[in-house]
Amino acid sequence: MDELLRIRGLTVRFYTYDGVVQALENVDLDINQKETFGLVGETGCGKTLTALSILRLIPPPGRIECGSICFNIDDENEPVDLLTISEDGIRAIRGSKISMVFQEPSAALNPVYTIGDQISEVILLHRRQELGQRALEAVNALLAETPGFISTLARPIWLMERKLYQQVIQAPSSLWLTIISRIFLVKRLLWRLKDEAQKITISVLGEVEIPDPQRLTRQYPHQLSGGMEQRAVIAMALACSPKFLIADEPTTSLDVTIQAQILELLNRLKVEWESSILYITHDLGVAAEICDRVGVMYAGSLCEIAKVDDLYANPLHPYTKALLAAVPKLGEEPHSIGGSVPDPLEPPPGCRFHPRCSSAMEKCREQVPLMRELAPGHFVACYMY
Amino acid sequence: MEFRAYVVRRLFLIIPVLFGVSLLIFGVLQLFSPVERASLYVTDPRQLAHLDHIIELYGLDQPVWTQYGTWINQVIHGNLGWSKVVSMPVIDAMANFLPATLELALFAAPLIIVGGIFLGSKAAAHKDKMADHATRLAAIIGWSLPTFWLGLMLLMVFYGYFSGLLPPERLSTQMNVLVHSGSFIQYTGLHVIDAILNGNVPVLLDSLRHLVLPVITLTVVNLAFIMRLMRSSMLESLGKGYILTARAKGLDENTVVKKHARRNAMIPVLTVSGYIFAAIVNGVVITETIFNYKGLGWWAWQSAVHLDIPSVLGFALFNGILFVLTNLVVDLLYARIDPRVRLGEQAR
Repeated sequence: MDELLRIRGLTVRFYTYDGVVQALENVDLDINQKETFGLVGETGCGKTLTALSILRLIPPPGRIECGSICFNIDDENEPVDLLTISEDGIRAIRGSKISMVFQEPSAALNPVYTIGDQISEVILLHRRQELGQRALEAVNALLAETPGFISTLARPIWLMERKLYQQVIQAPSSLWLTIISRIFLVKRLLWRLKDEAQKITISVLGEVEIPDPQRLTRQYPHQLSGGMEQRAVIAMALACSPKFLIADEPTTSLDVTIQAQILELLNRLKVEWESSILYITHDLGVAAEICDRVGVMYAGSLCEIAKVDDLYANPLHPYTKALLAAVPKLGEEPHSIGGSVPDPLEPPPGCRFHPRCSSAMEKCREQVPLMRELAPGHFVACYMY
Repeated sequence: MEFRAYVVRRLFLIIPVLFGVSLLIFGVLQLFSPVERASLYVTDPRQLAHLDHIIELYGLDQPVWTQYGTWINQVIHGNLGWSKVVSMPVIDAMANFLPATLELALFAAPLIIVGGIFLGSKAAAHKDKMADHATRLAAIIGWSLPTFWLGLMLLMVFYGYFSGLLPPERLSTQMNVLVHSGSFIQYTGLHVIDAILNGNVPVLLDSLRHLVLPVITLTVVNLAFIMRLMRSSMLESLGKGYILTARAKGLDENTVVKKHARRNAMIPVLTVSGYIFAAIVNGVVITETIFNYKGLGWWAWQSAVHLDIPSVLGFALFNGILFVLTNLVVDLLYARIDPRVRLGEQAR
């Protein structure tokens, strides 16, 4: 299986007034093409930060200290390190090659713009040349028509439009075009780009199974239900057919029935669009349902990575075992994990889980255990093995 | 379509508010006895002998609702009484002094609002960087300067030290004579606009020269206020989830700040901007007094000092109407910016 993303030694720290928060320590992670990788763990263990690091969107005062994130943009090119490429480079990747779906759909949508505006914004940004092509075809079709009264009047405008759209295709960032798109009224000549983006928006909204997408494009976020909002956010993330989708607890704030629909939708789209998904969740049930492989995170580092069936049938790390035991089952008392999550300002030395671990040894208090492959594809960071 | 419906709804709402304003002012008027109220219509000492006649004429001994009807009828026909401070009917006094204040407001308000919003969002976008510290320092200084002190200092430097570079009052004596002569047509009473309409460059330059100092005085204090408000509102908006979404879309920082954050951050700033505009049109007593700039504020202050009751009440009525109209404009702008206002919070 080909690799899509390879994270090595990712370390993120937050420099606060109270001290340095070690949010992520030496995270190593591989994500393959066309797979769904689940990242599970408690709240605050660094799942979302891992995702934000991939897009280089760590909020201040956080800083990526070291590590590399290699991303295979396509088969022809060498993988790029997302942490070292230029600001423009990472912006071109955000939203087009890698996009993200957030936990709270109502917060992720801007309340003052319509759904249509917000989705076509991504399309206008990343698929400009394609839009130019479509617009050019539309203008050419108009010009080819037999001359009538209206077409004789509009012909000069159409010719101007054709010139502009050719420019959009050939030199999208030329100064001339930038000037045109800034001038009042003159920029209206580029209206067909927006029109085409709107058409793509409607078809993408159809993809995410929204009834009456035409109407939805004119609606504002507050007019939609939570499930519809999340579908719109997913449509926004998928608008440029990204190779890699990061879904950060996309169903946590939704009803169970809607959650099932969204999971089904993500699964279907992943197969159809041949993309990979990094699915972040704290719900082990959801992870079992949708993921191919799962990584378990605790206090800023990964402790176990395995195929989903392996992990549930044969959990190795004491934390994974405790986490699985904590899932409530019918007719049984849930077992909570003793102790509490370590203070990120002063994490315990050695293995971060050792204060809560029942089988902790002397070594666990002194040295950080490294990831080892115990069985094919089953990695664990624990001294017990 | 929804916007139009909102506008109509909002326009109808003005009627009860204006009715309330008129009731309030009429209520204050009722605190005076009929004789006292009759004396308000007196324009000449000789009329004092016929107070009974005036009481009868204006129905001042009638029941309250009849009196209210008579009074409101008078108000609608522009009869607000006699302003003894400037020896002319109140309505004429207003028409006389409003253009001066309006001219001040038309220059100061855009500077305050646009400048404050621009600087505030710049500061927020560059939080804790040099630009932010500089604007914040300037805002604290501006906000702490008392108007009277700043005005006097400006006069000392630009009128005193540079001997008459930027003078007080509205026009120099020579230009004042010219403006009131037959060859200069006063279309609006706003000297700058009239000068442009008359094609008279000297008057234009002279009136602009006189406007500089009062406009600066007003701008410095109020701009600092709007700027600080915009900065905090913008910071709040920049921390919202949709900003992270916008960045994750691959938008550049400029678009994120200007398109996604600023529009949301504008909402609280708009309210305050409306009040600041209304407050300036209302007359800025201190500024107008320091610069001997005879506007509404100066007139209202003079009337209050000389117990000129018709003028004070007329001014209060104008005040009420002005705030109602500003609120209307602010509400309409709200609705334009925020769809949740015009569409109402619909049930999910």
